[in-house]
Amino acid sequence: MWLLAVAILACLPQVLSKFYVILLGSILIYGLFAMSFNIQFGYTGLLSFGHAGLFAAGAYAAAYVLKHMPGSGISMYVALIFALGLSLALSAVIGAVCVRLSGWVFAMVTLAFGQVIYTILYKWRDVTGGDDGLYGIAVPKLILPGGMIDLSAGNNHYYLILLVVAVSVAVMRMVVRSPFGNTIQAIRDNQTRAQFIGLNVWNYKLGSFVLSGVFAGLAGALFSPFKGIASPELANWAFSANPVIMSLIGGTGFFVGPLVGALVYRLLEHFIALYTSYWMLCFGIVLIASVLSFRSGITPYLARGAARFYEAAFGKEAPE
Amino acid sequence: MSLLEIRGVKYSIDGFMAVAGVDLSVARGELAAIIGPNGAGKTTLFNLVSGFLTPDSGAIYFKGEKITGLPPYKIVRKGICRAFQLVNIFHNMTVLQNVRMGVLADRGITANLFRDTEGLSEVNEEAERILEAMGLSPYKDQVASTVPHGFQKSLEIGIALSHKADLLLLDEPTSGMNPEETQAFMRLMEGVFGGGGVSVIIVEHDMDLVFNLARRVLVMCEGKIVADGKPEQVREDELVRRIYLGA
Repeated sequence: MWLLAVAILACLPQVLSKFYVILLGSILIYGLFAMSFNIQFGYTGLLSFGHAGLFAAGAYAAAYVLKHMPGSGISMYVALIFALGLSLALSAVIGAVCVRLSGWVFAMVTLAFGQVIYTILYKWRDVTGGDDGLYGIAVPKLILPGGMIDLSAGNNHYYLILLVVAVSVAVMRMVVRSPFGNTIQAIRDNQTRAQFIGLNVWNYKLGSFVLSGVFAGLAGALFSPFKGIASPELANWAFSANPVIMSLIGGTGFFVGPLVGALVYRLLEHFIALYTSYWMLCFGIVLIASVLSFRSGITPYLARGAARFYEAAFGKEAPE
Repeated sequence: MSLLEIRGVKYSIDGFMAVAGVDLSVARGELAAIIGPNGAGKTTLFNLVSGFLTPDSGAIYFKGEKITGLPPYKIVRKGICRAFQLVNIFHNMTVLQNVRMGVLADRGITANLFRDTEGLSEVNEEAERILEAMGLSPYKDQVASTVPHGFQKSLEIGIALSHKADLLLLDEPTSGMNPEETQAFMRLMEGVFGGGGVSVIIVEHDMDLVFNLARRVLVMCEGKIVADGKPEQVREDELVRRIYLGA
């Protein structure tokens, strides 16, 4: 099933125009961002409004590396590693302060940390480019065992994103099914009970926060080279609403929910914007309607629809 | 050396002395019941022993080690496990996942990121054994909040049993259970107790259960232990009859 999804995503560029390939690439990046967010939101019960700060940290880290070592075949690797390291360090520090807080206090303090990152990006002009951001990022070349490939050629950049997102999703899937994944869900369900089976719940919340932050940073590191720019808005609290909305649309209770949410969100945004410049208004109405009518997100409805289609088409029961 | 030693423990809530100086020692392998009217401080005493509350004064020792003021998770790791009076389970997880969570925690493998929990056959078998003993096997794949209340109560105890604890604190384990479930619970307790080594303290209102099961009965009233002895002694105690048994 998973391989099938990756195979379809790998084939799509053959039939889509360049424009839609770029849209699809950005959907995958947003999907990874939203899924990383859902590890702490859906699985651990922590609602963070500062998640964009970690995404932006990854985006700037990658942009900084690519700007300073253009044309090198290893620059993209260095960029990804630097982005992972920076988002790991930041989320460890922010998480250590925040995980003992709960509910709205947690949400507000994470929001404050996000704004701190935003302010740093905005003010530290020498490194971050201030309000211009880091732009003119050279599309990197990549050394692979078989030789050098040029990411600007064909759909190569899209395939790099697909590869990184697919591997990340596989890792996240492994984590949520592991004893650690069970534990964070138990803590979300009943923190008191979790303590009384001998769990130091704060350590697990911190683990979840860091894991989530690292994948957000990775999503950011894919974002800036793909868009060619890293701007301070990526860290702004308004940008943090993206993964929240995507997770809610797709359904926080489903592993791929946020990815589905990202797909729906971006497609709606794109198609509504074709017809009206008031797309935010239309989108708001659609969002309210979808949250009210699909309480647990649209993923289970889509899955049921897909299963029915499968049964009709092949005359046998659909696999999970 | 006694397993649990409580010395002069006091705790007050807003000026009300909930526990007004309790001294108690429980030996390894003992099965004791605490009875007493509502508000006598029984649950508060459990909260103090399990680390949910910290005593205002006095000290609690477990296996000779002072545990006063330790957080609950550390006390659990030292070997004290409790079940709650009100159902306190992982309500969005299945019945099996609930007990399995306890087994994972007991084995200290909750930080493992790389194994699929479904594939940990020893852990799953252990959880299934506990469910079997609790009569919960038919419900194992149901979400915990959707099973009948009595079974949630059994599950609550099942989670507590998933630990290799030396001391089990059970707060009104049979409230909300029907007579058959209570019978099953008693057989289970005989089993746990029969294994030897495990001490159980149980707060209970069901007098039949208390006098049939416990080898020692403690009576609490107004935050103090007012009687302590074999069931037949306590039953005959004049003070106890007056304040509690209503005879």
